[in-house]
Amino acid sequence: MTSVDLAIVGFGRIGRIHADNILSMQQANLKMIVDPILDIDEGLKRRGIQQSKNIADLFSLQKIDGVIICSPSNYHVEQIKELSKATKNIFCEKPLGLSIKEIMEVKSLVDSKNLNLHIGFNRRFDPDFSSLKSSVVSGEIGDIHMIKIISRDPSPPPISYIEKSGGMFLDMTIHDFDMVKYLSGVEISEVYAKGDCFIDPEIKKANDIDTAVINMTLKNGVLATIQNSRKAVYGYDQRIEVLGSKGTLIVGNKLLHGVIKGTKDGFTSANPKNFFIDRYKESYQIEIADFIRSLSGEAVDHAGVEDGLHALKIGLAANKSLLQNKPIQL
Amino acid sequence: MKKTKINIGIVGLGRIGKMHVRNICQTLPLFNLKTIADPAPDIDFTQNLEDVDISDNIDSVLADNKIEAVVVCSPTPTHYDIIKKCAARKKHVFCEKPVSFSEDEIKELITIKDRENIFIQVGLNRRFDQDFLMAKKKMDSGALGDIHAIHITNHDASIPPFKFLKSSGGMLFDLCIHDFDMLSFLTGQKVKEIYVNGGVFIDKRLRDIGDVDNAIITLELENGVLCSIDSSRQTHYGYDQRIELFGSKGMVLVENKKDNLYSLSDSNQTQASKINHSFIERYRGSYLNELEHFYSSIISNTSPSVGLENILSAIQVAEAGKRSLKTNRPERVQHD
Repeated sequence: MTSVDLAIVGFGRIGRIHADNILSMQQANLKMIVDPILDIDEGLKRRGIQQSKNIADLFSLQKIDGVIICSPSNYHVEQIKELSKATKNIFCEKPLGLSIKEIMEVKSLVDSKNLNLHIGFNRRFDPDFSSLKSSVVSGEIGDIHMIKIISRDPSPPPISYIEKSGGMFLDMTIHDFDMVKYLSGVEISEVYAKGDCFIDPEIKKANDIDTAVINMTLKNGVLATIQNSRKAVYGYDQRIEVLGSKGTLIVGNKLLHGVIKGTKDGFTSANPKNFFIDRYKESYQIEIADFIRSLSGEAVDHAGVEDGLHALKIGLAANKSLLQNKPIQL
Repeated sequence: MKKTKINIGIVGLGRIGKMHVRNICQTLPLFNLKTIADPAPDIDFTQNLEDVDISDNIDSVLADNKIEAVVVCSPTPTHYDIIKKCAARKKHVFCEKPVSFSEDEIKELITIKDRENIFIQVGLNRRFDQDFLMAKKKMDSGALGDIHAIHITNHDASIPPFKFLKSSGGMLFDLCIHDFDMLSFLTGQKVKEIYVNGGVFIDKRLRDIGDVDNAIITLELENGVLCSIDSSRQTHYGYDQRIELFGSKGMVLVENKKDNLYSLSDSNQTQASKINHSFIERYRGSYLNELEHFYSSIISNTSPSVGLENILSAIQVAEAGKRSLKTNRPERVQHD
């Protein structure tokens, strides 16, 4: 496989994860990092990675095989439009966009320019979840009846982040909405969301919630539920269960370590890994490796524009359901 | 000190009736089981019982002045009449849930109970389960901080016969009634609103009678706590009974009990036991505890901690749930 040249747009927390993963891969070169508020990183400079505050500088590169967009959500669509002039291969972090209209624009761009667009629903690439999906697909538990997702963050993000995030359903739950579709292969047709602000009144002031219980039906009648909280003091709580006509499949939490201690007070074990970067480390490596493989034309499983559209539609429907306190049909 | 025995009769000798008989005869010498009444008693079962009168007529229980209390395990539609007859004879009653599908009947029984000055305990056995009690104790101690969410998993291992399903009052009244009560028991709060999302996956005939065999239920308590119940009539891997209490300072999980502690690891995998198959194994301790409580209540002349008022509240949640299943909307629970 020939080596590919990549660039990253947006160099925050997630951009750095992708950069580290790309740098660890022999078949990929990270050529440029673009970020409007970037402080020049001497380490990256020494490795020959150009750094720019202006996206236009990408077009001066001699060769660019693919771009990874990790900017704030509200810039995604505009940047995809711009960057599609330079490359057909774009990896964009979730959520793809914050309105149906802008995602439809991306969709027509994907269709007209034949873009190879991947969306960063990284949890699809988690080895446990993809293994669970394989078991579902091979019929090990028969027909699916019910999907249960527990998805709790260890602590809420800063209020400044929440204000720009599009709200909990579009920022956090969007992964879970996508997971329902990924595991079942079927879209969600109805959503009833209840939520409240229990953790920090500042979140309420930012017009958002921090706790939710969501009840859904899929197009084939399967039932699904998501339990969300922005703050589980014991760590990043990420569990999935699928109940089928022949049995169940369960993915539990990954713990910080494997030591179990027993004393006169009982047994103690470690809490779940408390950070998404630790819990989903492998998924970030696999999703970028798969993106890179796709640059040579290889067909790889990935979340595309239809998946981004689905997850956003459900997120918006959940927002509406929360406001109106009734189930919303898609 | 030798404890005073209480003479009791049991009405109805089905699965749960037999379990109570076994518990009383083998483990609870507090009661003296005098008479069992069932229209068609199972001879294979009763022939092994010593010093117990077997009758096909409830009158032999009612007319016996030595019988102080009656355990009612007959089919739900018979409960109302039997309790009224017991009350007329001033006999205390332990009645299996859900007592009645009718709020009015339960309200009338509350009036009768107060007028006749008898105790009526209802078989909401899960309130007496050691693990749930421990969870409640932790929560009440403040160890979890403020409670934000409660999730209950309540799945049967195998679906009952259609004949039973038809007379069960439906999944909400038969199976989930325990969960509605558990939410109130754990929190001391009533359920304010319920939304039921149900489906028929296992026995298609349920569609014809407007029932479901799988459901995800969203509830809000009066203090705003968000709850969910997921319920299925059939898992194959056992009776899945879990509770999760999630709060600002932590979480309590009550997990399933396995049939045995054995596991086998080979070059492919590790194979462990199924979880308990039914309520009889999983809630064994709770059935003993609830009858002990019934005994203590009578002996000390204090009202049992769980009675008609609690089942009424749970029935009202089930009623609202039934409406929600029809309207596909969240429904307010009418508590009065």
